[in-house]
Amino acid sequence: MVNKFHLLVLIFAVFRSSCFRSQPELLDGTLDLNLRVVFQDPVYDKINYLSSFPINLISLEYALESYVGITDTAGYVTFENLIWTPYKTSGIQEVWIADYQDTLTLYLGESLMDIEEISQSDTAVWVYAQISTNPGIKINEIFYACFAGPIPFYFYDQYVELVNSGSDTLYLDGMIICRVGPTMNIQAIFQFPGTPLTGCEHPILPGQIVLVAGDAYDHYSIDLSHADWEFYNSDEYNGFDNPEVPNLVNLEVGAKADFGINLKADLVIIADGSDVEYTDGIELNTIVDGVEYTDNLALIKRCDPRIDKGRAGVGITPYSGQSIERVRPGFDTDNSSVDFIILSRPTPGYQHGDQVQLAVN
Amino acid sequence: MRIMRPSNFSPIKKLILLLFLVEVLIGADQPSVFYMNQPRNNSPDWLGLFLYDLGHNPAFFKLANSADFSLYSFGLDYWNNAYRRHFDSEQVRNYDLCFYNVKTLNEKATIASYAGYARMDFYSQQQSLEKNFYDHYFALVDTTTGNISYKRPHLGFLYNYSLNAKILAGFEINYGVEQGLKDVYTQCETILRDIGLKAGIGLDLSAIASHFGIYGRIFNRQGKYEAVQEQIAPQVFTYFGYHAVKRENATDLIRKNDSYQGYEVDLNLMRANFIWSDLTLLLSGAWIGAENEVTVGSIARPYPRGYGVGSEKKAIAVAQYFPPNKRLGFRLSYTYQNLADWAKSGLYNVLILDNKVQCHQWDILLRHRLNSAFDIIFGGGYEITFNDYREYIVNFIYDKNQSRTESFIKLHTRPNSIISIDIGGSYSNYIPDFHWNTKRFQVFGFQTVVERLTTFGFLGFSLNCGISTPQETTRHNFIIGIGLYLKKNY
Repeated sequence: MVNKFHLLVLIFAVFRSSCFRSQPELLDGTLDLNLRVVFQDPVYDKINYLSSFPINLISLEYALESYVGITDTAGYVTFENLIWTPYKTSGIQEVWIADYQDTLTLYLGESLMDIEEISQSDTAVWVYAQISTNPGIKINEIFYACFAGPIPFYFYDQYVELVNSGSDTLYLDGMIICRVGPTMNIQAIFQFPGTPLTGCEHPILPGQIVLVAGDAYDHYSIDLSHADWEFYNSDEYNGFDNPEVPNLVNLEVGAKADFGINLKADLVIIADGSDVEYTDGIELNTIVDGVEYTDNLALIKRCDPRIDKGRAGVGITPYSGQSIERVRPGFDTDNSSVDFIILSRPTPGYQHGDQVQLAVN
Repeated sequence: MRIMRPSNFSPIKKLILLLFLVEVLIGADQPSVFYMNQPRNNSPDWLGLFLYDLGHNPAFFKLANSADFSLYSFGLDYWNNAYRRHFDSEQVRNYDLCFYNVKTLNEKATIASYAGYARMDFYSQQQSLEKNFYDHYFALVDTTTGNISYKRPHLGFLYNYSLNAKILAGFEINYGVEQGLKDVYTQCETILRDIGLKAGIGLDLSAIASHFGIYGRIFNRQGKYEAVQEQIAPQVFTYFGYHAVKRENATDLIRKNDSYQGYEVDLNLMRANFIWSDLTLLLSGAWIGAENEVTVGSIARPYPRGYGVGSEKKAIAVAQYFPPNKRLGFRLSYTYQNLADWAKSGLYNVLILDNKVQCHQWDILLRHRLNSAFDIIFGGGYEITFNDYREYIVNFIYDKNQSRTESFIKLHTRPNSIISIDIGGSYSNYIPDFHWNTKRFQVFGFQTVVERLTTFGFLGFSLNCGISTPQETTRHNFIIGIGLYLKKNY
């Protein structure tokens, strides 16, 4: 019996010592990162080390305040005692590039995913700044999540905001705004009045923000009665039309619904209107801008990367009242993951951070 | 305890345990259904503890329960948490129904079985998708307030066998499942499966008035949380400790999986007639280890959220003196607990929090038998807890000491041969954990139990109530509970 007892004790001793993982020696909050912000000139193939460049490290794991740093004269920045987590970098700065003899708007948008490897590196990790390009008419904000209100399934307060990020006056004549489905099929197509490409009746001034409302009235949760434009489908039963707001009209044959986009994931494009034969899709070279948003990155990306390489709105839930907007008006890298941020409330007709409504008259 | 945050025992719950198990001031949190559900008021020797009361070694079950009986019980509690923490519910109703049976098969073998069904209704449960947010280092919350109903059938079986006159063996298995459903979006459904196996062996050395025992227990709990989002989809977050939060992807279905398992080794020793006649010494030591792995996402493609290990060392020493023919009796007890938990990040091998707790507790219980029909029992206790809780994602340290004092009085009377009545009251004063956001709680409790012998057996009715009051507020939490049981001895 004594032998059996010893055996029992031995079994438990072995069990105790072997079944749990050992405690990590490294504490969280001890990560040091040494980064160097550079701009690799695509024309002259020259490396520029960016000094005094602001850089934010945003945790992709935890909802924490971002870490803020600024590069020294050689482009280095050191972050100490960070949380162990993958990070996304962000930062925008106007930088004088001598080779160009011009000031460029550079931005950071890289993610630092392999933190373990980066932390073991003896040298600074290079973070590449990129040029914000493509001035023109852009989608500046999309409010698709809607507000939760007394009426269930209410989605008439959606809107799309456009901006002219160029330095010249451009024209909306004949342009189209489309909702694109998962198989790149056109699910809704609405057109500005006027002649595409050549019309000059509906100007959009440099920096002007234009609000295109689903229904231009006061929804109580949000007032869109002063929108610049309104989506309107004359075939919609009992559809609302604000007579004081000009309309974008429906081009889809047989469609009886107003313009509406999904509250979770969708693709919105604007095109110059030279191709409105929507049944076979929209010609890629007529597309001016496109933004794909989703609440879930696990869903298959639907948009051609030549239009949008990323996806905005990750984490937004339906009826949360949240919105997506460009970090700056017209800031466009064709990557909505970088270009857009999530706003807790929509900003119809103006840019977040601005105290005054700029474009709603 | 055991992969749990710092002591989070509800003050009223503690008080009720104090009252309901006033005769057993120690070991009340041991997860043995064969122990917790036995009313003992009808027993004239109910103050005396045995080894089974300390460690719940199934090998000693028969020695602690010499008679066969059946027990049917029903309990109902209502809790009103006027003063509560952020993730607590406003009101709780507990219903508990159980059947318990002890049967001697022959002179060597005894079996006990248990079947129970519990239902817990949490009203206005704020944000937490967990039954008790403060129990978990990795906890799910959302943005809604709703009602959650938990239903828990539970089964247990114990087999106690005497190998010979000196060697006892015992085996116990507990199995339970629990389903919880939140009635608002995110309509979170929780499914838990809990199983515990215990095997013990004991030496009955009556010749030297001693008993010695050892047992091992393994337990395993699998928890699944499925938060289904519909029209108005709330956001779901995972808490890492109390301060760091991760926003989960806004998918239609949020899944969290808890895989919790561990084991326990327990040693017990009892020596009767120690120094004096009728003075009994009981010693018990336990080591418990457990791990918990938390993932989110589907079972086919889980994403790690965290991993934690907890251990507990516990030692209990009791000296009791309840001579049957003397008016005075007493019990002194000392309990030492040492908890050490840590948790690591799911993505990296870094420590995100650790928790070290040491607790010393001294209790005294005095009995004065006024006459054959009237006992008065009173006593008190003091507990001091040394905390060292640290979070590393968001720098947070809680290293303050906590203390608790309690006192109680209980009158036990037997007006005639078929009726017994207990009336008791207690007072407790203690410093709660930091997340209670108050410096001190005062708790008053009252309990009465009336038991009558009928043709069907002992029919008992109990009434509990308690009020806890945090310092510097005017809000009071209260609990009222009633219980009904029928115990039939064979």
